[in-house]
Amino acid sequence: MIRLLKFSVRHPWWVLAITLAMVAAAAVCVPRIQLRLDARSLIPQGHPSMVEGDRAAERFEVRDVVVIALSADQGMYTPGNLGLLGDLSAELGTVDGIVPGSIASLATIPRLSVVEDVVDLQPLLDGAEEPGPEVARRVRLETEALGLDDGILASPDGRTVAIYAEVEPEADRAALGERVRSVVARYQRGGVAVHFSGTAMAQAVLGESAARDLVRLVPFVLAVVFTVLMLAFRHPVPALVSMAEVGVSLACTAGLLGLFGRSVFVTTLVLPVILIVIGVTDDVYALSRFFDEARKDPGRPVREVLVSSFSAIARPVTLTAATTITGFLSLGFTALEPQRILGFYGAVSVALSTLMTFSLVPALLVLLDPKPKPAQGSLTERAEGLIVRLLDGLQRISPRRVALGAAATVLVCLALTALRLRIEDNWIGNLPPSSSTVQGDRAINRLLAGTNTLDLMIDSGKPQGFLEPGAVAALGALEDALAASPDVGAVQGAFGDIARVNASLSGVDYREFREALRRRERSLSHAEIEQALLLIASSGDAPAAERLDPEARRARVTVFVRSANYSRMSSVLDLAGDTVRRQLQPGFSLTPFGDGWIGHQSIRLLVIGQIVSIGFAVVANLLLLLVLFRSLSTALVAIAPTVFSILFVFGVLAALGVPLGTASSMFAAIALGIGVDYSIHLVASFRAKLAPGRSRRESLMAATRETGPAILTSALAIVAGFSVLTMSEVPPNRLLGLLVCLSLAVCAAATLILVTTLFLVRDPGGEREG
Amino acid sequence: MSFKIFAGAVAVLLCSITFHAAEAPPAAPGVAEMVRAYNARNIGSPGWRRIFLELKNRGVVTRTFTILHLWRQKEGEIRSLVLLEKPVNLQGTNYLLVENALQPEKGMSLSLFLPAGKRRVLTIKPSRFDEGLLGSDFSYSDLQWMIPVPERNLRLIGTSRMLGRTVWVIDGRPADQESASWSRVRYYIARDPLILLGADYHRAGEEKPAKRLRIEVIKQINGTWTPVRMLMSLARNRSSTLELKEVGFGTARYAEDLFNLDNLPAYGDRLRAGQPVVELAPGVRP
Repeated sequence: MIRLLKFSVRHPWWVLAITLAMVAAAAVCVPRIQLRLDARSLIPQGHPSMVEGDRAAERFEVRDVVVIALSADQGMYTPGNLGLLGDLSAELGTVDGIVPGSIASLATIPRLSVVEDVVDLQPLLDGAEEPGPEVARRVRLETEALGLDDGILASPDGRTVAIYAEVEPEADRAALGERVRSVVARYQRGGVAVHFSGTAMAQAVLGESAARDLVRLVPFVLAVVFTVLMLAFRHPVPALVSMAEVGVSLACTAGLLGLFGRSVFVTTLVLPVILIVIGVTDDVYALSRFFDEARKDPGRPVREVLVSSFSAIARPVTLTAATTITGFLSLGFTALEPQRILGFYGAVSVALSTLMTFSLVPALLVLLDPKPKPAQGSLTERAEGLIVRLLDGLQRISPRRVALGAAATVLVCLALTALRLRIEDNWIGNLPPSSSTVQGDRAINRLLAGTNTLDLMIDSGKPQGFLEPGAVAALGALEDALAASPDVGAVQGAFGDIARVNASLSGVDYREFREALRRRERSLSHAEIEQALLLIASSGDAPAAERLDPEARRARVTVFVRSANYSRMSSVLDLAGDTVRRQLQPGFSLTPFGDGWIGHQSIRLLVIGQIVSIGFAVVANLLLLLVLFRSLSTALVAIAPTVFSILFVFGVLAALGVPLGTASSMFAAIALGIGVDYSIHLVASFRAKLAPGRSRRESLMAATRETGPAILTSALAIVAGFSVLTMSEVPPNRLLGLLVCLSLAVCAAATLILVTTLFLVRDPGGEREG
Repeated sequence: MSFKIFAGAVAVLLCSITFHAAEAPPAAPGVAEMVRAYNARNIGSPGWRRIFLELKNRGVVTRTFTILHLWRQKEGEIRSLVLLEKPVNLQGTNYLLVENALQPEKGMSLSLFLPAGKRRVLTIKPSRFDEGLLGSDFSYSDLQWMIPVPERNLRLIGTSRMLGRTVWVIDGRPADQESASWSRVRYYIARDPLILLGADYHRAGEEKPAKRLRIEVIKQINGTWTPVRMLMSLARNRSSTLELKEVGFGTARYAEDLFNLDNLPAYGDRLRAGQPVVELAPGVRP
C-alpha cells in the first residue's frame, strides 16, 4: 500500500491515465450485464434442492403467467361481460410474448358437454358466437355443473372470472406488461373492474421500479454523501476526490460483472448505492488525517503530507477493508444467487476502492493541492464536542452499569430474536404497494382462489401408473385433502379432470359425482379413466391436457394458496407430504416445483445462509482482529459493538413483528463488514497512545477523542447515504436501507460507549503503563 | 363450410392412400382439376387396413394404438368404421365417419362409441373435428378421404420435390377465417403417382407451420400406391406416426348394415370379447 501510495504521489498523471483506461475498458463490458427478474434465478441452476423441481417444471412446461381478473357487481354471466371475457381472451392470445394457445379462461378451456347425445369439447364460449341472454344462462349453469366456479376460472358468486396467459420465457417482461395493459385498456368498460397479477406482471413492475430506482437513487446518494463530506471538510476537493474514487471502483466492478457475463437482480441493483456509501468510508479516515496534518503545518508540501498522513492510516484502513470484504464474502455462503453476486462483487468493489484510496485519491490530491480551511465550526469540530460530552457522561455513570445495561439489552434481543423473528418473503411483497399489480393481486386473492401456486408432481414410478384406478383414487384423496386446508383457495389436478369428464358422460353434476367418489359410493374403472383421458387428450393443447405427463406416469397437482407466504406454503407442503405417505402406495414419490416451491426454498436457503454467513463473518472478523491486536480479549471487545448492533436490529424487528426478507437480510453482512471498522480505528488509536507513564484510562480517552469525530462523521455519511435507500420503490430495498442505517448508527454509538466502557471495566484503576 | 373440416382435410393419411398410378392427371392442370382428380380417385373400396399409431413426446414413445379401419364408397357416400383394438382398456371404442363423396366440401359426420360408463353412441360436433384423434397429432379431419376445400379458395403456388418426386404445392384457405383452426394449409401432391406427400398447417399470423405432415414411405401394393409411414409433427418436439401394417383394397365383402350407426355398441362388445367384427373373405380376418 505504501509503495502504491508513494508511486501515486510521484506520478499522479500516470495514475490518472491508467485509471481512465480501466474505466474505458470497463465501459465496453458493462452492456453485457443482464437483469434477471424471475424467481427461479434466485437459486443457482443445479442446486440440489432444485434439481428435481426443475425437472418437473420442465416436464410440465411451467412458465410465468399473467393473471387478469374481471369483476362486476352485477355478475359476470351477462351477455356483455361474457363478450368482454371472450374478446379479451382472444386478443390476449395474439399479444407478442404470450404463448399462443396458452390462454385459460371460461372462454377458452375445453369442457366436455353431452347434450342429447351430441358430444362437444368446445369452450363454454365459442369465439364465433356473440353471447346472448340464453348463452349467458347456459354458461352459468354449465360452469356451476362442471364445478368450474371453484375460484380458479370463476368465483363461486359469479362476480369474478379470471384469464391466465403463459409467457414466453425470453419475452421482455416490461414491454409485455405494457402490451397487456394496453390491450386491457382497449376493452375496459364501466361496471367491470380489471385486476392484474401473476409472476410475469410482477416481474414487469419489479424491473420498471428497479430501473427507476437506479436512475433516481444513485444521483441522490451522490448528492447526500457529497453534502456530508462538504459539511465535514468544508472544502469541495475531498468530496470530489472521494466521489471520483467511488465512481471508478463502481465502473470497474460493473465492467467485471459484464466481463464474466454475470446477471444482476433487483436486490443487487442497489449495489451502486451501497458501494458508493461504503467506498467513501475509507476516504473519510484518510482525508481527515490528511487535512488534520495539513492544518497543523500549512507550509508543508502536499506530497509529504500525503505520504505521512496516508501511511499512518494504511494499516487500519487495510484491515477495515479486509473486514468489509469479509462481510461481503460471507454472503457467498448463502445459496441465493443475488446474495452471492452482491457478496463477491461487493468484495471486489471494496478491494478496488481501497486500492484507489491509496492511488487515485492521493494522485488527485497532488494535482488539486487543496488548502484546508480551519476546523472551527466544521462537522468534525462539532463531533469532537459531542465526544467530549459523551466521555464526561460515561465517567459520571458507572461503566459497570453501562456494561450491565448492554448485556441486558443483548439478552432481551436474543430472546426476542429466538422467539419471534420471522423470515418471510413473497414476490408480491417486493413490489411498490401502490402499483396496480399489487392492488390487483390483493383483489384476486380476495375474489378468487389466489395468485400464488404450488405445483406438486406425483410420480407413480411406472409408465401408465395413473391409469390404475387405485392410483387415481389416491390422487383424488390428495386433491381433496389439500382443498380442505384453510390456506388453500383451490386445487387443480388430473383426478378433477377425469371426474369432470365422467360426470359429464354420466349426465350428473360434477360436485355430486366427486362427492360420491370421495365417499366411495362409486368408483372409476380402468376403462372410464382411459376413456376420460382420451377425451381430454383429444382437446389438443388445452391446459387440462397437461396435468398428466404423456406416459401417464406422473401427475401434476396445482395448489392455489391464498396470500401465500413461507408459513402457509410450509403447512401446505407438510399436508401434501403426509397425505402422499398415507394415501399412496410405496413407490410413489412427491416432488414440489413451480413458483411456490422456489419461494419456499429461497427462504429456507436464506435462513441457512444467514446463520452460516453471520457465523463466518463474526469468526473471520475475530481472527482478523486477533491478528491485528494479538489479544483475544481486545479482539472480543472490538467485535462486541457490531454483534450488539446486529442483535439489536434483530430484536427490534422481532419486537415490531417485521419479517426479515431476502433483500433485507443482507443488512447483517453489510453491518458486520463496516461496523467493525469503527472499533478498529478506536482500538488501534488506543493502543498507539499507550505510552510509559500514561494510564490506560488516559490513553483510552485520548484515542476516543481523536477517532470519535471520524467515527461519527463516517457513520453520519454512511447512514445518510443508506437512508437514500428508504426512498426506493422496492419495499425490500427500503427495509434494507433502514436496517443498515439503524445497525450502523447503533454500531457507531455502541463502539464509542461499549468499547470505552468495556476497557474501563477491564481496567477500572487506571493502571499506568510500565 | 367450416374450414375446420377443410383443415385437416389433408386427406392425409388414411385416405390419400389409394389410387392407381395410371390415374395421374396430365402435366399441368388447373388447381381445381388437380383437387377434383385427387378427390375422385379410386380409394380401393370396399377396403380395410390395420394401422399402428405411435405418439412421441421429446423423442420418447408415450402411447401406442392399433386401429382397424374399414371403408366403403356407395351411393355418393364414403363410410368409414374406425375400431380401436389396442390398448386393451380402450378396446371397443369406435368411430363412424360419413363423407359426402359428391360434394366433399360439405364435410363429414362423426359418431363415437365409448364402451365404458353409459355405453352411448355420441355425435361429435363438427367444430371439434380438428381436435386430436386419440390424443395424437392427427385430427378427426385427417381421417377424411378427400380435400373438402371450396375450389375458389385453392391456389397453386408452384412445385417442389419430395421423396424424389415432383409435387404440386397448393395453398388452401378457409372460407370462414374466424372459426377456422388453421388459417392456411399447404398441400404437397405428387404428380406421378397422384398422392399426397405432405401438408403444412398454419395458424393465423404465424409464418412457421404449427403442424406438419410428411409421408415418409410410399409403396405400390397390387398396383395401388399407398403411404406406408406418415409423420405428423408439432412444435415442442411432439409427433405422431402412423404405420400401415396390413391392407386390403377392393377385396372385402361387407354386409349391407356394417356401417350402420346402431351397430357401434355391438362392435365394441365383439372387440372386447376378442371376436372379429367382420369376416372379410375366407381366410382373411381383420
